Amino acid sequence: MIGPLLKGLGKTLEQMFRKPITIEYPEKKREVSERFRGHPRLLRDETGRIKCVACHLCETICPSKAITVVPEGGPQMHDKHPREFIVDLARCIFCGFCQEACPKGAIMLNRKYELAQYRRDVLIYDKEKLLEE
Amino acid sequence: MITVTINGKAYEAQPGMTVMQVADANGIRIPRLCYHKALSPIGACRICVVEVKPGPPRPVPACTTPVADKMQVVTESETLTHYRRELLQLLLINHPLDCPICDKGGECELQNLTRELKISQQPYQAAKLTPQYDSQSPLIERYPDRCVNCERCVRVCRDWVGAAALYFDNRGYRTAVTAGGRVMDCEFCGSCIGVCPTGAIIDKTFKYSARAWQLQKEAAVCPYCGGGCHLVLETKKGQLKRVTASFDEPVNGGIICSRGRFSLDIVQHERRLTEPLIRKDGELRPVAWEEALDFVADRIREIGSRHGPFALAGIGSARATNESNYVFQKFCRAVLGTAHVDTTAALDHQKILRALVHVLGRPRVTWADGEGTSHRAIREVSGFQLALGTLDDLDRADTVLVVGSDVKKEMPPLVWRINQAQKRKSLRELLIVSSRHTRFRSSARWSGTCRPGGAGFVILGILKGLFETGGEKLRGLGDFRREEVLRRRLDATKWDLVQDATGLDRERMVFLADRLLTAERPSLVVGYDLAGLGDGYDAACYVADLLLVLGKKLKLHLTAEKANTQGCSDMGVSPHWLPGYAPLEDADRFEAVWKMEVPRDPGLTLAEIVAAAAGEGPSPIRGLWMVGTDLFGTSLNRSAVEAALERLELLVCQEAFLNPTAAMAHVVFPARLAVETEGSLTSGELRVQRQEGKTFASGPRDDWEILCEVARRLGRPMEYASAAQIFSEICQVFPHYDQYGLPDIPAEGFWWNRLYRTKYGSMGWRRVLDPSLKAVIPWLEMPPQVSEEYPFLLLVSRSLFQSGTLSRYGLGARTLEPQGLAWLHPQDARDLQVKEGERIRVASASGSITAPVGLDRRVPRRTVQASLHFQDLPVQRLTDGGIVYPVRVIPTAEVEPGQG
Repeated sequence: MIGPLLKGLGKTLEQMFRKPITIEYPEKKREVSERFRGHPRLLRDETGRIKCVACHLCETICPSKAITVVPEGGPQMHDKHPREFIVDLARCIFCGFCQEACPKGAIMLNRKYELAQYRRDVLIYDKEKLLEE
Repeated sequence: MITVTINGKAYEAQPGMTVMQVADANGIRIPRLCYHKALSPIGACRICVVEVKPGPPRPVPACTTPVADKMQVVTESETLTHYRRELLQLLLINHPLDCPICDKGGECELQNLTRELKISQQPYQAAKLTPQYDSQSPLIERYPDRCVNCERCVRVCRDWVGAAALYFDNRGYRTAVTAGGRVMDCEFCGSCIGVCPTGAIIDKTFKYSARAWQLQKEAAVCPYCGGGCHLVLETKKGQLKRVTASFDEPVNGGIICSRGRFSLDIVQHERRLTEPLIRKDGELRPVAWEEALDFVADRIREIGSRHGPFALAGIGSARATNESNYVFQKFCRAVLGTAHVDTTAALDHQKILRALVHVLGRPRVTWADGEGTSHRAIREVSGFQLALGTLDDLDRADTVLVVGSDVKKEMPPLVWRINQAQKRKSLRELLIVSSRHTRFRSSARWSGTCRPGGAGFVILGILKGLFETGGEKLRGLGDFRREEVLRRRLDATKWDLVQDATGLDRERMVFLADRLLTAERPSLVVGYDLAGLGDGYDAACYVADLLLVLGKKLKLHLTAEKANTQGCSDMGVSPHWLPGYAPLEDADRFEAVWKMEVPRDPGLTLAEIVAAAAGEGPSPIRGLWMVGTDLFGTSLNRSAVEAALERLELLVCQEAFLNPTAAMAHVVFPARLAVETEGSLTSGELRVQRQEGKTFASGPRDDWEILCEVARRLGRPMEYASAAQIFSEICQVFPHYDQYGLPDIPAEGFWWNRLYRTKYGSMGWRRVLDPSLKAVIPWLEMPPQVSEEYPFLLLVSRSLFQSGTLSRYGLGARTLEPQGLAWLHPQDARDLQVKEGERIRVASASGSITAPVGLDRRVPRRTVQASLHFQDLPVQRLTDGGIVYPVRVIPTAEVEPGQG
């Protein structure tokens, strides 16, 4: 009769010396996997220019219509880049289609996941913000 | 009919068709790159290779191989796919991988083919070519590295447009399309953009503004000239991004001119009027709709009660739809109660129509008796409209004579058809008589130079030649009265006089007469160099007499400068006739339909209205209502118009822009443009087309809506709920239009002069030129001559890039021709010691202007050529309702030292 009780207490004692599974969020942040799909960001090339050429493919593929691109020409004939590049993270579903569609590898999902905000407009990220992320 | 087997299935085909055409007709897709259905095939790219039995043991191109009876064609096989892949990979050697930024991406035929043939790599290497990019040309950009040498642009420019501005340079591997110089010297119609399968030629105004798949496409009828071309408006989020054309439609076959392609951004121009304006303290200020409408109604009531309804006059618009024009003339006649209704087309196009109505009769339908009213059988149709030809008639014509028209500038679709007919060799002889050299003229088989203003005498000379040499051949062609009087008058006119007036001798006139007489299907193109003359009506009477003499054989083609030049005449915007060219005595019929009184007195013409408004004559005009008209853009004398508009007690304008006329108005209503108004437009070939009307600016209202609002406030309401309702009333009073309801008009429209085509289904009625018609033989005045005091002639012309004054706001027109020039022959400029760009003073009996000089070898000697489109070139100060005036040219350095 006492046997099972001791067995149970023994288990409890054993747990006390184990490493805890719970992460004390937000004091501690969880490390996400390499392939984690956070929100999109824009990349620069090695010269520091924005990689995006405003081809609109991400805008076209985006299933939740979160992306708006306004293109602009540059001084050279083959020069095209976005004047505006807006991602509405309130709409984004983190599917990563934009990253897959991009012919230039200019847009990628980062590993950030903290997106809770009190105001919606904070979630509308423009080009500068997306480049910083 | 022959039978061709394609991929094991038998299809019927006409002899002479190519394999490609048979396959396309039956929905079998053969990959192609250089083939374009609007162009003649050249078989250059060899992508369309097929296997043919019986035939050579190698693949043959489908686009150039004609079908034969019992031919067996295979379009898909392993060998063929291999060939196509290899060929495409070779083309891709020099093609840049810039699809993400190329505007063609998404609608690129090369991109589609690459995907279709599953090409993912390009294993070949070759010497790198250095492309000569062209970013300097206006409106068009060229990227030779994207070119696949399909020759489509070269073909469309040569065979349709007739500009031949693009051609191939070098040979073999280094072959490249070139425009000759660093920038393109062409008509900037952008047809090359339309046919280019890749992004080698692109629209600069569209560049990088949207991708092909994001655009919504809507069809529209071009609001510029009277050609009635179909445009495709491509919008993204309600914004017009570009204008293209579809190669599937029958009117213009996918070709449009620079006005339609590049100048349609006027719909979203920042200076468009969106609110009504009322003049308060000498300035036009925006007010609410209600206030403006009430104000106008009060003022009209006041003028009407004080001076009678005939103190009011109306000027309709060749830009507005048929419905707006119909409601407008009804508003003037029945609501205002005035007979003074006219339009600016009265200065040119309507002169020809008046002469045609006078000589060949009004459009009339005689119904068979004893039938029900709904589908009555037609017994007979008569009237001038039967003598007018369509664009399709030009396709069939074997001889085309152009007199008094700079066709390309007035109505380009006519030229495209003529160019195509010449290319097909169905048109054997193109004869052009004009006072200036044009590119189009150089493509003619025979051309003659007549003195400016001599177009009427050319027609007279041809008639004279016909009677002198025609003899027996003339018998049986025409049947009309007063032939003897016509003959006598022509005999009395000496050849010397004709030669003095035209500069062409008897031999040439007889030659032209003989060509017309021996041709089987001759066509005559007449335009504004004849109609715009001061005595254009008299000259046009001889055109009508020529139609009488040659009877049914000769087709007449009129050019129309504005989208609805023809339609506003059809709708009765003229003091000479009611809607449907009905005589003024027919007012009873209209009173019964309108249930309002219609004045029976003849009204004043446009020039008389302007004179009466300036205070001349016994009953001055005190109130003038204008729909979409800039009187300062016409050949009426500018000083006279200014005097008239300043004296008016009430000037109401319905306008899209605040043009110089509207700037003098007391009230301006913002109106929709013709592209935005739902309704119908009648092109220069009498083709009635439906405009679906896509609105770009919020605020402006349809012209007819504004008129109905005012009519209601004046206590004589015209209640129309929609354009379709107005159209059905038009059908009621003008049976020629009664072929479809407005929503049912087919995409290609209908010709109102071919009544049998649809509803009535029969051709059993007689379609004859009435033998009771009689020739009208007015005296023609000698064209203006140079004198010691006025050693030059001013010749008012038109620009290829501009259309009336509306195109001033268009991007294309502003880019291509920002400034009006006085054009001189280089030799004359040398004699006057002026250089290009220097200012000269031009003075006529009516006034004088200064203008910068342009040099052009095509301008006739001792002539100043200038057009009415430009705000900074007030040619109207020199003219007085005509197009040829003797002038004096003084280099300004002599007159005003320090200026230049």
